Amino acid sequence: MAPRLKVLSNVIDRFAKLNAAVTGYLYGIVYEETLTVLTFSINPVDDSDDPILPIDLQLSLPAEVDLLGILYVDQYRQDIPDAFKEIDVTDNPLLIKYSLDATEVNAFYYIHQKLEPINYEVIDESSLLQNFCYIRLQANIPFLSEEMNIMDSLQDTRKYLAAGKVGFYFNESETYLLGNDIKKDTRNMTTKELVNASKNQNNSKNSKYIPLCFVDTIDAKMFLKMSSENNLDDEPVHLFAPVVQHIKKSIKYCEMSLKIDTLALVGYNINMAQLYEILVESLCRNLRLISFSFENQLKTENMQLQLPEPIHVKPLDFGHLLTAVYPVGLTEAENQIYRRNLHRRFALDLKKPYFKKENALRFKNDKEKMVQLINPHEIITHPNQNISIVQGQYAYHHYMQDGIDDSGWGCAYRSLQTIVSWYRLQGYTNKPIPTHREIQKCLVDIGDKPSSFIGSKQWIGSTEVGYVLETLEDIPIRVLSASSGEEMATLAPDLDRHFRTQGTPVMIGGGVLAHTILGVSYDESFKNVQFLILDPHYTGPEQVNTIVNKGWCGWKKSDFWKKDAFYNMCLPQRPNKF
Amino acid sequence: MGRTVYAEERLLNYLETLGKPDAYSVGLIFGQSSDQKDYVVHLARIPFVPAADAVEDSFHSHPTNPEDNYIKSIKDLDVFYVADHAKTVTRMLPGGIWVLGMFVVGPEDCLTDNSLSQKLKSAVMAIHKSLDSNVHLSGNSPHEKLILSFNTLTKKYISKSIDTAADGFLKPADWRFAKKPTKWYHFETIVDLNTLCPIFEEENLLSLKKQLQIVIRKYAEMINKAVIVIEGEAVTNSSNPLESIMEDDKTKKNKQEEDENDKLLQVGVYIPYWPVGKQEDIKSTICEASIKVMGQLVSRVSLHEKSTCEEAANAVKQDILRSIASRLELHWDTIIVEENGFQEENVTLHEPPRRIFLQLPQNRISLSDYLYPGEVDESMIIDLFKTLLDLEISENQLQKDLEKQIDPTDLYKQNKVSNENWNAAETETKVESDKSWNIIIYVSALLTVICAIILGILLYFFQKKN
Repeated sequence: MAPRLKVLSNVIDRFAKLNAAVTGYLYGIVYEETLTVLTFSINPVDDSDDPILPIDLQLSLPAEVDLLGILYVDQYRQDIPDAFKEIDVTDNPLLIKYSLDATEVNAFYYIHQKLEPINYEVIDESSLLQNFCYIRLQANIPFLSEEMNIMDSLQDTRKYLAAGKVGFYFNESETYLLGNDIKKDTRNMTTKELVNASKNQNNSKNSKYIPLCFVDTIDAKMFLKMSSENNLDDEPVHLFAPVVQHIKKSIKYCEMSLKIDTLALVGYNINMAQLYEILVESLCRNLRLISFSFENQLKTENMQLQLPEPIHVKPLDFGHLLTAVYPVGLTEAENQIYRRNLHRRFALDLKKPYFKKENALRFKNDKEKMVQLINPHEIITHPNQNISIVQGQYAYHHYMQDGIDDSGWGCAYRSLQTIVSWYRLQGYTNKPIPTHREIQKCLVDIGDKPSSFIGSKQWIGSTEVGYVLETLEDIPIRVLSASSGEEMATLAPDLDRHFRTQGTPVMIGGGVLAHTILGVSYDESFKNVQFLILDPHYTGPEQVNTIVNKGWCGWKKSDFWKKDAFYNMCLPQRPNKF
Repeated sequence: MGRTVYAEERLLNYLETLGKPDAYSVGLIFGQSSDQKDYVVHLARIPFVPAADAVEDSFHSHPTNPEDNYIKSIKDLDVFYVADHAKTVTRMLPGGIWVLGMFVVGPEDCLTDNSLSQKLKSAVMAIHKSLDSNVHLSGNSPHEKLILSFNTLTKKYISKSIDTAADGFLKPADWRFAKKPTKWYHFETIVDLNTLCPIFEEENLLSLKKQLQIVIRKYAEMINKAVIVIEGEAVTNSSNPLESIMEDDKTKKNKQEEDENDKLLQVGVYIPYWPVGKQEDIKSTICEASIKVMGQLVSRVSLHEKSTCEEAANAVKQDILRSIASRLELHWDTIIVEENGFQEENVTLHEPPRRIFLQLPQNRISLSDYLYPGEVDESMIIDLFKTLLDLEISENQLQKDLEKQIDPTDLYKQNKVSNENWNAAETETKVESDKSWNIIIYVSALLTVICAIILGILLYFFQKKN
């Protein structure tokens, strides 16, 4: 019987953004008699500068997400596609035809050399994650190679490890997954049980606030297996007592510690023996991405080799994670070609950064020290009406942080910092957050303030915030004004459009106070307008519950704005770059 | 409370056989020690060959002469000779089995006489010091050492324990002889030793011996942080009794318990490749020399039934390191031509002696010896076990093929295919291989000649004495 078919809603949404006839590939998971399509790539019309093969693109996907079939967008060829030959994870390769005009998705299985139409079910990401979880394997592999043979050595290493010379360990549940040495009661465990064991551990000791936008994974570590089995049926080919080769020859070696950081998307009913294989595959995918990175570096003349470092990203419309590998220290200009290829392959426009290092996802399990809270608004209950809020992540900057006592004058500076944090976290910039002094210096440099302004405790308004964003960060801005607090409500449609198209935090100044607006809410008739406010005047510790319960971050009615004040808003725009 | 020492009954008989009315026999106590208890698995008298020949090459060369086994007076005891002998035989012990101390058999109670016991104490202290000098042998157990005195006339014995690492006070120790004082668990693992070790500039003028010491240190670093897996259970710093993880098997196969005893349990050795906090850059170095180790080492250890998991894991680690260090030490001791003689580039294949095993029939603990390539004469090995450990063995008790001698064509094949090595830079030998085989032949030929000369000298010496 043909397997069932599910398609992630994100895939359908992304189809809708296509605008030209094209062919492509489908990727997804085969699990429990079901194919779930998670993503697709497209074949660029012009192949000249695009060296990534579809099967290589698979390396950027979590292990278990494999090439499943092909995509025809407004293509009506009837020939039996050769591309099906590359698909080995299912006996029923999939063809999806998408018609741009009718926005219609038709799916077919290739059964007995014929295309059979098949019904599919659309699921969203959260229901996907009820049956699957991400397992993240991190390791550092000591690696030593003759510099001339680095590619061969990498391949040897990968093959050696793939031949079962690894073991895995799950920190949270203290579970060892050791290939042939596996413990009997571990062998029968399922991934679901592993997840539960990990979660129990976590719940008991972790009550710290972790933003929802941080990715939840089960973490695995890795061992090199130094021992071999004494298996008489299957005697290793080269079994001999240790010998020593003394090589007296001048050799240039490079020594490094390969950083492995790789993902697998694993069904809850996968057992431990299968999971072992999946993690090995996950490791191999990462090592191959690392090899590609070295290969690219070696193509560049006179380049000092840099250690490739994997990052994980999740473009806005995607329902799954992706992995990219960049050499440490490479500038964004230097990896731009690679990033452009990824954008084009995944049918993403070149208007937003998705694959920059700054786009790297944050993980719940990383004990990353963040001075500021990320997205405190995530735990707030939203009003039961239309809402549009900030997209992506920002950090909550407020009074008294970084050891600076700016109580009474620094609110606009802090709001500005929150805005810059959004541009950093979304990958538009990698410059550090400007300090009060740097902000003041910028305003002096452009001639807006006298030089005595530097080091002073004078407050700034939305105009200055706009100047600094434009000057320091090259961020274009729009300005919106309200002549009184009451008029603010009439600006709800403008703010709504801002949050839907730009999605950046808005700085608002009125009287002597500055605030950050994170969202807007209104009913059908644009009445009952509410504003999601992030208040920079907070002076307490980074405790999200206090911040939300005491209203430092929360929905405010229109009467929050003073009737007699004039309000100016600075609406930062997204630059068109990737 | 003093230490309790459990020993097999046969060992008491052995002490009696050593008795002479007018002379003393001194020997070493072998066994496993834990917190308050020792399990003695073997006793062997020390052969006292005339001092001049003894020290350097005691490993492969002693013929036996019964008279050599006695000394006229304890005062004559050469403590340095004893200490050196302890180091030599430690190489033959599996990890977790140690020289626990020494015994003396003679016509008086040596431990009641102050000056004699001082002498014995200094010998045990010297053993401790000698074993400590080679850290990779792990020759000293973490517990107190023993002195046993057996009186030939009264057939009585007295024993003391001594904390050689600290004060050196003598404390009474209680010996209990039984037919089978403990059950032993026996473990085996095969360890892949594939590694490449570049010799950095400041080190490349060093002798091969010094370079090999660098390699040993590298292994020590790696092995010491390894996680040992017994019966699928990762043993991490655990004071759990070893029995607790063995139970599973026992209940299931109760009927075949005897068979079960015969089985060597497999051990896994896993090196953590944990993520590191701070990522380091790629280091690029030009090295004038490199050492590449290839092949597999067979490790066997035995643990008494009350051992903890941690003791078991440590025994495995100690055995692996002891065996790596022993074979490389034996190897560099036999190299006469110093490599620095060759100026041109070359690749030399060295074949350190390989490990062979001998199971003690009473408790099946595996002792080892190291066999040089081309060394086929079993009688020499049999002599060696007799001389050094006072063991009467026959040829068929030796297990010589657990570690196999390399067939150079294997290596050549491996170099071509090069798929068995992790982080190996393989190709350098392709070009050089022809040259290197010449050198292999050269090195092995030289070794054979050396062996022949030593044998010749010994035979000459032996005949003259008789």
